[in-house]
Amino acid sequence: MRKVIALTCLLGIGLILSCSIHRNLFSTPSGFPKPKYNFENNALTTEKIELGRALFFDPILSADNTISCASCHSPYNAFAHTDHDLSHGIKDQIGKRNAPALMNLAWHSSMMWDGAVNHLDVQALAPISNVKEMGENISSVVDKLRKSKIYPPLFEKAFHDTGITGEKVLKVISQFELTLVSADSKYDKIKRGAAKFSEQETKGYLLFQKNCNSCHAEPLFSTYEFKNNGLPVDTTLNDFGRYAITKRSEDSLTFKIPSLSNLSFTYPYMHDGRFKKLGQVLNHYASERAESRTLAPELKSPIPLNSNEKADLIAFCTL
Amino acid sequence: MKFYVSDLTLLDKGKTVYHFPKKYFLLDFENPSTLNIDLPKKKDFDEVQFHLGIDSTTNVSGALGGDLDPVYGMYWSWQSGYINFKIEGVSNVCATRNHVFQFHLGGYLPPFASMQDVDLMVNDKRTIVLDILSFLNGISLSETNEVMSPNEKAVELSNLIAKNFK
Repeated sequence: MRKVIALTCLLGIGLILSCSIHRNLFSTPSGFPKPKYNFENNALTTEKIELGRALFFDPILSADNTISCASCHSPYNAFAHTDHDLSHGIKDQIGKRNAPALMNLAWHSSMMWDGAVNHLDVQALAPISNVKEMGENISSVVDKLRKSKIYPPLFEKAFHDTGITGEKVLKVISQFELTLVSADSKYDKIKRGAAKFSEQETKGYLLFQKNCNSCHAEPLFSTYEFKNNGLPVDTTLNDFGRYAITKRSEDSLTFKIPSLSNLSFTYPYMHDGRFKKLGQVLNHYASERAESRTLAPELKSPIPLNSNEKADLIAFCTL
Repeated sequence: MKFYVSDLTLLDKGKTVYHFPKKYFLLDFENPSTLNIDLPKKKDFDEVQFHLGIDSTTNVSGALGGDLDPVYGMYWSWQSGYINFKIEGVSNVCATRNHVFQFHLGGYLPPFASMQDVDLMVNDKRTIVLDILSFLNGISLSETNEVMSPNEKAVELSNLIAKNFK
């Protein structure tokens, strides 16, 4: 639905606007709520964002220097792992969840499908340490960076002191990720009065507001709460979502509601990537939900959609 | 074995006389220099209070530096939160791989918040002892030998460790 704007040319822009050193590296798009991320503890600078960007794309973060963040969060596809139901890490190992698209992270109150991570700054520890993803640890990453030829001067330039620490590594990765703001899709332009819905998109929008908006709330297209959307358990994975974190029975089978932004780039869908097409997603909500004790109250009844309505809804969701 | 001590305070006759400006200390038994904490000069005290572990606010504050830097292996990666106390060892009674026991005790959210309050009267040597033998004797290693996530057992073991500071 939206095009992610990766601020890849920040340095260039910074030079052009060299008269304003403290230019705004992050601003809240019109209509968006206040970000959850506290920028006071990690004030964005061009040097730190650029350093975070370099680390994001560098396989040095993995044990055998083969997998980078971008391996599963590709900038070509809204920073998701398009076409992979489950992502693969070092030594071709397959993980257990679909890599989510990275965007608008400043508005998330927790990270991961199950909310296991409570702050963006510590998010990168999870894939770095997971044996099926990067199989590394932050202490070893810091050692490798200290020994590299490239990174010590970049850290010095960004932090104005010598030394590389885990805290610095994690915070600059956050800085880059915070710039992945998605707010210029046709939907966003329409909201700003700069574009108009087609007739079909209007119909889809009305269906969306009636049936989807309570969980996939505008303008971020998620409340980022945890819900059980009625997917039957995949017994090859036995993933019970947030229950693994909270150990509370009411959290069994709940997962974080994903944003619908950039939906046409982020297939396959759901926490385990079980649906390749949006049509399958809508069929699920229309007729295939599995009853269970923790099923979201919003989904107690199926969402009635005929085939025309499904097409209209998809037209809106892939704007 | 390593663990966090935070909010270290000295008291004399029941009144606070000194609060350490450094809020968190990582005591690492593989790095003995971390086991000595410099005392303020000319302060009489007969009691010490501290938290064993890291408070909940700090646990949700993102990436931190100093003794709290995740490079020290005291921060969980798969789930956010500090490990307050880590001890690993070998015992023949453990039916685990290589007879290893591992306790990574942490957790900041109720009902499994595991940070402990410790309050001790101080001896003349101004030394605090952690009686690990007494701690290990207080558990059945054949049954309990791997605790590595926030849960009931982690809280129980944390409580037992706190009672073994002397």
